Amino acid sequence: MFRDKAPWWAYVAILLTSIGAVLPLAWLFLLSLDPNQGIASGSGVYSLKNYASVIFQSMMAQYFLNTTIVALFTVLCTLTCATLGAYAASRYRFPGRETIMIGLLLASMTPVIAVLVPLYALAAKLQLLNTYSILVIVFTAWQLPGTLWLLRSFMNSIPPELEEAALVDGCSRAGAFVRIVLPQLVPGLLAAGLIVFVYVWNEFIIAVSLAAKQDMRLVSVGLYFYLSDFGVEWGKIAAGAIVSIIPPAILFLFLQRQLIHGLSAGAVK
Amino acid sequence: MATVEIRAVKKAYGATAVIHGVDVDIEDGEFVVLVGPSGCGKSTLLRMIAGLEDISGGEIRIGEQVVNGMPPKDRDIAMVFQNYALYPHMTVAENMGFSLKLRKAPKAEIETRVRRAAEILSLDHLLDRYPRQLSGGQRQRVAMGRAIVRDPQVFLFDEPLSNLDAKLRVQMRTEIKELHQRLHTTTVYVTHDQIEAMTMADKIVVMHDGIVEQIGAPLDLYDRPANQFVAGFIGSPSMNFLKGHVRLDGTPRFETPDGIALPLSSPGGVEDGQPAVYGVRPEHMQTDPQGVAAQVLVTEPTGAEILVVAKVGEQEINCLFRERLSFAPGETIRIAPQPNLTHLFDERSGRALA
Repeated sequence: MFRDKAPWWAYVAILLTSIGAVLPLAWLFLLSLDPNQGIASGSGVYSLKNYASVIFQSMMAQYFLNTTIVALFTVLCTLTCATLGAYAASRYRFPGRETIMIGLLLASMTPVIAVLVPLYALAAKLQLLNTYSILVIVFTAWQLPGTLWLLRSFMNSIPPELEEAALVDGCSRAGAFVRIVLPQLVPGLLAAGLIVFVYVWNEFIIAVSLAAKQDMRLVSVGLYFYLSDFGVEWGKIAAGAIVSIIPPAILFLFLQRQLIHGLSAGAVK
Repeated sequence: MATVEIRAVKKAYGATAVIHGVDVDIEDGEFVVLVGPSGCGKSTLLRMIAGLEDISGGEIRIGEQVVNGMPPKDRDIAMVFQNYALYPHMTVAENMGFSLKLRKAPKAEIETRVRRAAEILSLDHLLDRYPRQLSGGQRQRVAMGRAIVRDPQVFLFDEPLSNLDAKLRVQMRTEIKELHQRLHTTTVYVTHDQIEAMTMADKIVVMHDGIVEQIGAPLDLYDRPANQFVAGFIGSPSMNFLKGHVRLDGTPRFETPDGIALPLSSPGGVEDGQPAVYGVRPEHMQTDPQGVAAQVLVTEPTGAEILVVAKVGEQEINCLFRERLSFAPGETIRIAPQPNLTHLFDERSGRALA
């Protein structure tokens, strides 16, 4: 076991990594407080003007609403499908089970860019461009394999005897699933839900391709258009970026314990 | 309470048959132990009674009712699992009351019955705890509490003591037996531990490779094993088996290939010169100046008794003596089986001959 005190260089490595992670954010934050329009204006004047402008005078609030709606529905759809799939893959033996699971994993490794054009064509044909639905459908499809694998490993760590005990106690199979399996699965669901939520929050390529109309933009797309809509307004972009970090950061803060527990499920008995 | 009838029950997974037609009759209120080595099909049979495995052939009745296609929840059974299977997100009281809650029993009744079961099992002070806050023995008790709260027709136990340490196992064994004497509920208990089987059962069913080898009262199986498998499985340390031939010229005796002669109990139904297996339990060996010579290999004193592993001719034999004897390895001693306590088995089929 690695229970000895960490050597000095481990602390140095951690410190350097932390600085590497925090430095761009700190720079972004300073930039967002600079009311002048320059990356390195160095004027020494700081104000919250950029934030006020982003929050009250732009479409940012609409983008936040769009992203929240799409993210929540994506989380809901992904978790529902993945939970049922993971249950089947964990509890039932059927021909081709492992082939399907490996196939899903391989499919999820396809680069987004490779399917972007067909996806666009399909969405156009179905008249779903610039709708919440198309984003939710595509994001769900994209996140399903990983979530399915995560939840299956979680499900495998729940002893089948718990369900059998519930069957003997008087539950139906569905009843045992809802009353016994789901409560055990909560940490896994939280972890998976958080991962999916953050994915949607950060996603850009699919979002900009399928929903670029101004009132349908997600936060990431909205930020990008700051570059072109008003020329390059660095201060506003920075303020928008900082604001957009807040929701996932809050979620992480509240769910970090579940996330770590969920991700390490099944690692040790 | 109810009888359980198992008629020509078979189980196959695809082309692999694991239970090949088993018949067992369990009387109302009886404590029946299914015992056998791992993979013998005993747990599968229990799970078929519970309804957790499909029945590939034959019939299982609980009371008057054929339960073949019936889901577990309608069979009015309670089961205790090897790993206890307590619901981690429920307290002890909730675990025990879960089945009653599902049956929509009134709250007051659930509370009364949970309290009563908790008192029987000395769990009263643990009712608000979660399973993770309990020791192994306490979890085992909660699992039993969950079963008795419902007052089911049949209790099913699937190796419930195998996760406990040796001392606790003996204590829980007594508790389960006491519980049965108190409630008189028909019980089917699966174990691979023949001592558990011997000490707890009214009736033992010895299984091996998916068939029933013998059914009977514990001492019946010990005294009159139907075949070599049962003889070797029941009893600890297990019975000695020596290979050789029956000799009926002069005094009926059993002769090993080294020419060592051993007395036969009742040599009926065998022919002179017939190849056979001679069985004698270690505890039925005694020192005897007139006995056969045996060379001591190892001695294992346990305080109450001493186990001596010795060589008779080319074959090894275990002897268990209650007297305080001290032998040195390599020493030659004289031993003989107690009269009328030997067994004889057919060499090929393993069937008991005399």
